[in-house]
Amino acid sequence: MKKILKTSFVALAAITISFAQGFKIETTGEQTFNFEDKRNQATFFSTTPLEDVTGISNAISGKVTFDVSDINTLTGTISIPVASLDTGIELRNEHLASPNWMDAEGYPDIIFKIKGVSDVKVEADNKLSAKVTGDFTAHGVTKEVLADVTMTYLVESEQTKKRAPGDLLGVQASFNVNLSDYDIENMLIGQKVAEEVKIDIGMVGSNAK
Amino acid sequence: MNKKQKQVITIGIILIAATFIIWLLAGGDFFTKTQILVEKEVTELDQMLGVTPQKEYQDSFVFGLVPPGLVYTAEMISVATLSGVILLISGLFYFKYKTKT
Repeated sequence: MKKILKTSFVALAAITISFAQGFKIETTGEQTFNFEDKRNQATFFSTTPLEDVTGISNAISGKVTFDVSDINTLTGTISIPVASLDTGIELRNEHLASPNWMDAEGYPDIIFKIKGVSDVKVEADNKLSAKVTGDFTAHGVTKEVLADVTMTYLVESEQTKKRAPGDLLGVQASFNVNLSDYDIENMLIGQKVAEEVKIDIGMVGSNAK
Repeated sequence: MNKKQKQVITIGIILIAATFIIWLLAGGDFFTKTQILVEKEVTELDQMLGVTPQKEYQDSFVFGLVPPGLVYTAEMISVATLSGVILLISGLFYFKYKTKT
């Protein structure tokens, strides 16, 4: 009987640990991080037969909430205004915002809404990597995407205060989307853009209220 | 074709060839660019937060094969537009030196 109880306890502990992977830091409980820093950046990378195209946006906004000890509780939404995308060529920016492409007037924001977390790996006490499933909305179409995400948690210190008050959460995310899934025409200034676009997001949020 | 017309054609071809050579030496970009993408320096805090270096478009001229648009004057400087101008000027001189018979 003792053996059965012991085995059950170990199994229960193992299940709890495996389902409750989180940061092992001083801060505890549910935390909400706001991403409003203009240094946060989303990068859209694609290729054409003649040259590569990189679009950048520094107008990321949104927030995420999670229990520090369990990253599986992660929820939140991140959005990027279409009009903020810069490709380094004015005419290309205009094409990108036009109705055939992203239609900035009709669908002003690109949105990523977090739905779930899987494959959590503890890289360090304050660093986790995971696959984050979310609804990605662009050009009025919403599709589920899977992003590779790395999150680093820094408890407030004299060094972090130089950037923002409160604890800081660094997020690096990467995923691919297919243009045809979002009814986007793949011609940009007469050049055929690759079907797949790689999206990278690097952002830092603060939990200061 | 007289001697002067031959000279005009030769000079035109040399100038057009020169624009292509300059274009190749400038990196052979398809579009002329007035901005290039550069990576910003990563701070120690950014490294601690695990975020990749931020990029930004900075003003810089890259001579391309064709102009990407006709918004800025600098965008129009390309192999295609310069060759067009050289062809036009060469053509004018070619007809100017045409010997009347």
